[in-house]
Amino acid sequence: MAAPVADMAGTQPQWEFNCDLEVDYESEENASMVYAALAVDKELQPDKVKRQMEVSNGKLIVHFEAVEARFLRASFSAFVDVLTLATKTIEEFGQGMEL
Amino acid sequence: MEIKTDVKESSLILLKQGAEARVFESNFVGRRSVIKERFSKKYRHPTLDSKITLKRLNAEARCMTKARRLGVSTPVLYSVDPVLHTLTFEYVEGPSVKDILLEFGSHGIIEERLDDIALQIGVAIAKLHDGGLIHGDLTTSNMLLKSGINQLVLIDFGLSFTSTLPEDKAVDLYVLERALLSMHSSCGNVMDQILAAYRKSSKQWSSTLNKLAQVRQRGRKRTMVG
Amino acid sequence: MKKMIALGFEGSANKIGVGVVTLDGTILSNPRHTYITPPGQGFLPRETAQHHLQHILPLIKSALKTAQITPDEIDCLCYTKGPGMGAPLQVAAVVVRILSQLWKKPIVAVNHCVAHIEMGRIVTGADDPVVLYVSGGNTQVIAYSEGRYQIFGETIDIAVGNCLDRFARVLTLSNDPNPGYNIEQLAKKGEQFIDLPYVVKGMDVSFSGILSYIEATAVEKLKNNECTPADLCYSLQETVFAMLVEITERAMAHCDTKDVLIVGGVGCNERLQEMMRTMCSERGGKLFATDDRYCIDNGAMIAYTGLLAYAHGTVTPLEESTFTQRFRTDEVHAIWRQKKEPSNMNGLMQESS
Repeated sequence: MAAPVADMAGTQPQWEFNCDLEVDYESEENASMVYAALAVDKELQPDKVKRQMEVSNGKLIVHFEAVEARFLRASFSAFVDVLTLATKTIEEFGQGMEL
Repeated sequence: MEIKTDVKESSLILLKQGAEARVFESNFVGRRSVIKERFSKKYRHPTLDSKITLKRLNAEARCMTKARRLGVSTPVLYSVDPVLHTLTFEYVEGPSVKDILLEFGSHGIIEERLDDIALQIGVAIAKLHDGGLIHGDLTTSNMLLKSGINQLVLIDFGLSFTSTLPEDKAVDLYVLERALLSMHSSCGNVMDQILAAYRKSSKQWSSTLNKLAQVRQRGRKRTMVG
Repeated sequence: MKKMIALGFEGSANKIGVGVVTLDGTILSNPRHTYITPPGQGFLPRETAQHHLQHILPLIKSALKTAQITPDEIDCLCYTKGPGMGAPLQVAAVVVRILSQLWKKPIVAVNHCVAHIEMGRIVTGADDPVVLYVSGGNTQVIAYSEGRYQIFGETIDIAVGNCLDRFARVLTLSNDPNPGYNIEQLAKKGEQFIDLPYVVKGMDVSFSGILSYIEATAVEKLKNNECTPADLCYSLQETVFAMLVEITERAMAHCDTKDVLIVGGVGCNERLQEMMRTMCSERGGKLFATDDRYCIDNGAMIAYTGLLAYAHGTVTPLEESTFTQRFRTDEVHAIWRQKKEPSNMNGLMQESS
């Protein structure tokens, strides 16, 4: 699965509050799976929070930008919850799952 | 309004068994008439039941007469019996708007007739509302078209009440809108035609229709959890 | 041909459930877990989602284990698209998206309300009833017409379950197992009938008046010892259920239908069922109702409804497997109810796999 790669290195943050998250899955396949699952849900307030994701070298790289710190916090924290869930789901139900 | 009822049991023919009332054909001093008998509902708490039955009997008698005074065609009321829970009124010959629209749905619409029906509905509701009367149960089953002259006759005023609030008028229209959507979606947007006629004939159309937009939003915006 | 099997996920409110069913409606497993809040408190989206996050993965294991199936045997993965609370809905959606990729299985998005109806129909055998759907978030009188479940009547303000829940909070009744159950039990001890606002508008009802009456006047009456909490529970049930039975009967008269199916969490209430049964028998019809295994939100209902849609060629691409807080019952095209067409499930299965 080819994940679209945004060229974020060259992009200047538009909004004051931003943060980055990197999860190393050591697997292009797993990182892409999480990417595909989480890309479906858009940010609820695109005028306040932006989220960009890319997959690179088995890593999921996420960049957040927001107009206020509280929006950044809320978005980031909700995202981490579902990211953790997606990751655990792969761990428990991926190859070699045991029932 | 109270006239002694002269009901001859033998002359009663059951026309319809509704949810809350039985409707009989009868004869009232030589005139073909309808007797509507509200019966008690066994599922309801007796206190609640008698309260509702009596309230609706009175509402119907009062409001169908008031509607006539406002220039809206309703059957002429002949008598009320609060003990037997019966109303006796004029027999109106003709199909219900529900049957006509269902017929349009299955055999094709006659545009001219549909336009006329929508116009009459819009004008009638506008007259009720401007006179401070809310029908409370505007469905196509409660509208008849008098045979021969195709005049709209409103019936079933059991849920009617008086109010001048835009909210009550808007909900009245909303109930009709939903009834049309759920049963007659194949007839196109009849409600738009009805509202156009309403707008032309009601002096207070603006506040009512603004409120209607809000009532619709409420329905859509309601979060539906569980 | 082997039986088609679906795995279904429900998490739109305070229950998280995973169910395994076959196309004939056999439930192979249906575990669920309920988020119960302290008395006087409702459930909030964020906390509810946290609850679901904790329980969903163990529930999948338990569902597969009880059903004695492996992921290979599953034909499709079904999840609740809506309506419901956003964050809790997302939990099931995310898991389904991952499992779909891991196991290479198609996804089917399901409308929660339609799932209640289909589960009720298959469990009770009701063919074409008028449906009363009553729960914490919904109050609708529904009948099938022209390819859709049309809403004939509904609440114009709050749902009946919401009215009951909020009433329970006023009396600080326990939320375990659910507020409605505790109201029902207490109502049995009620003696005095207290007059409450009874509001029916056409085929619609309104409960907000009752709630404000309870929150103000009734609380006063309680303080002055003019009535007991049991009297209030009793009167509330008698009043709101009479309203519900009345609009259901109106819809039956309107659609010329004899049978009624009650679904949704409030549908477990035995007094409501009793009143509805009385009304139905007066009309020469039958009441179909289910018990709390089915009328309370569960995974099997989602699995079964998704499987019906899947067997008729519906799949939801991963990119479109979204969730939504608002999703009206009448938006769904109930293709599986359009009969008289020769079923070509084999062809459809190959097409979608």
